[in-house]
Amino acid sequence: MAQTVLLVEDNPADAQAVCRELAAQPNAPTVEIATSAAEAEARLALGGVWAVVLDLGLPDADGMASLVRVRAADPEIPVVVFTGADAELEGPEAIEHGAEDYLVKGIHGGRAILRALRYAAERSRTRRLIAEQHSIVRSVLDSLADGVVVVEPDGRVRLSNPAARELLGWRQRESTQNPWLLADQATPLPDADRPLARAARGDVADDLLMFVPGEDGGRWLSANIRPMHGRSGGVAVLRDVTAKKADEGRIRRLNSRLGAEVAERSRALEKLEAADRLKEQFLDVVSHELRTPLTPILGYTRLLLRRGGVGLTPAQKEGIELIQESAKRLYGVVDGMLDFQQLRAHGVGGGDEATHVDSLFHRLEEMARRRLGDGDVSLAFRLDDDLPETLVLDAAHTQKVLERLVENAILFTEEGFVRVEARLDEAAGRLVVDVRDSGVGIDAAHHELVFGAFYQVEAAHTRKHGGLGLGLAHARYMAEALGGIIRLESAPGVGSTFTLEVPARTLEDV
Amino acid sequence: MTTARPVLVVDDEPTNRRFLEAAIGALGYPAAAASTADEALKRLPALDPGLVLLDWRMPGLEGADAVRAVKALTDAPVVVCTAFVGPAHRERILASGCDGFLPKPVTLDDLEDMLAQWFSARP
Repeated sequence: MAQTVLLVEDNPADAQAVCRELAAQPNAPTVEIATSAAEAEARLALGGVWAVVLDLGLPDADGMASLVRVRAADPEIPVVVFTGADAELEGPEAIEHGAEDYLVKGIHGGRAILRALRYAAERSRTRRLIAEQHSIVRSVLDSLADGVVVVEPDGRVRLSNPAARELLGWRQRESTQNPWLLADQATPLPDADRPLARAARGDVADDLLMFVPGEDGGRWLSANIRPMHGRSGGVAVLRDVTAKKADEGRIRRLNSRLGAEVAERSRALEKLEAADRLKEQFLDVVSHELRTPLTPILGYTRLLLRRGGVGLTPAQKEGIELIQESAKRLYGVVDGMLDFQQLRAHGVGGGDEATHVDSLFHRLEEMARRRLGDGDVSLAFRLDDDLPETLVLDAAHTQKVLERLVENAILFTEEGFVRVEARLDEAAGRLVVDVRDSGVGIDAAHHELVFGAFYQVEAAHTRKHGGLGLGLAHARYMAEALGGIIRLESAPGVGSTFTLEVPARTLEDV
Repeated sequence: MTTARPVLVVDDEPTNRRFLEAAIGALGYPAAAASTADEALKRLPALDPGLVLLDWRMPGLEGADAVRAVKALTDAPVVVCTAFVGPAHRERILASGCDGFLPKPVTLDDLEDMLAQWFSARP
């Protein structure tokens, strides 16, 4: 289909001449004629025109005014103007006003006209493409959340997107000054090292921090900078990291507080461990210092009492026997202390063995009777009928635990009874021993405390009842080391029941 | 009895030393005593003991060093007699090369058993 050229020409003779010239060309375009600017506008509004050939002297628009009206009617259409005698003046002016080219009437023939039109069409198409590209780039830049700034080597801003202007507090899209120096002046860096200055030099770098002061306290931006392709200057892409920096600050503060707490705790732990070591050393030394003088005390009393204490008066003999009994008790306390210390440090060694149950309780009873003496407290042992003759258990340690429970009961009972009752919980595989007394009793609030080392119900009891206050702590340690437990039921004035449960199997179970 | 080699008690603590010496005598064995290991070393050749009862912690020469020094001068068994009785102490003591361990407080029965063991030939 032939292309349509609109010839805007009020002189019919000139119009005819152009039509003739063009018609003589191969692939000639169709020529339509408008005789005024108004007519041209009307025709262009209909569309389908490929190019315009415009005479600059029209009845309704003289000179450049006609060009302006045609351009306004169709900004895209290629326009070639016909100038008169002063072509060298009019031609360039026309091009400034949007014409693609100019021809001189009467000199340029059909061939030149057609060629000018084709070039004009091509230039127009190129201009459209550039505008389109520009529009795409602009749309992309406008839609970015990150700020984009193109800076020239001298620091002028060639281009910026709305996000950049928002981040940097600029009003203008481009600038002939150095507004980035203003924006960047608070960044704690030498001028030449500031991100936008480096971008202007064409450096490549990521995550450069810059500070932009503002009424809201300013903001921190992270800048990635790249050189331009094929030209000098550079691009900076900016992101607001104020919140992230604040978070980092918070995290740093939290971390440093956490670190301080950890350090404090480990210091406290070290102190505790040091205190524990000191306690162990103390017990070690005390145990040694108590044992040493016991040798002559126990030894001489024993020597004096040999062969029934021949040569001693009854009163002397009784006195020496009391010394001996006291020394043995002291020995027991010292031994208990050592056991306690050993237990804390190493636990109990495996010591399950087939044990004659009656013998175990018989030994316990003998110990209890010796300790009880001739007081007002009755002592009773009741072994359950179903208790087997022989059980497999850690007899040595079980006996030690029971001794301490019985000693404790005797210590705190002035009248009434101390009763030991034993049975087997076969399903649970445990020997269960209740040690009941009618002694002072313990308030429920103190039930856990009595198992602490060096504890007694009241400080006054320490004098009255004696003892180191290690017995129950020791007993519980030992019971738990054996895989058992000690329970307590007690109330002041009612007496106490300590119940020991330790693992025990019948011979059939083994 | 006078021809028997004595038991040498080495202990810096006077009451212990005196008791052990007396108890050994009462049990029918000749006894001698020294208050430090250094003193014992000087007297060893003249005394020629049949058994040395050696304290572990003493002023001057002590512990494993004392055990080795004594054993270097006599063929008599050396029994360490100490109030350091915990398993850790006991292990260290038995590793010193001594021949026996007698924990304090020493009971007369323990002492008698120990003497009987080392002088088993006695009536």
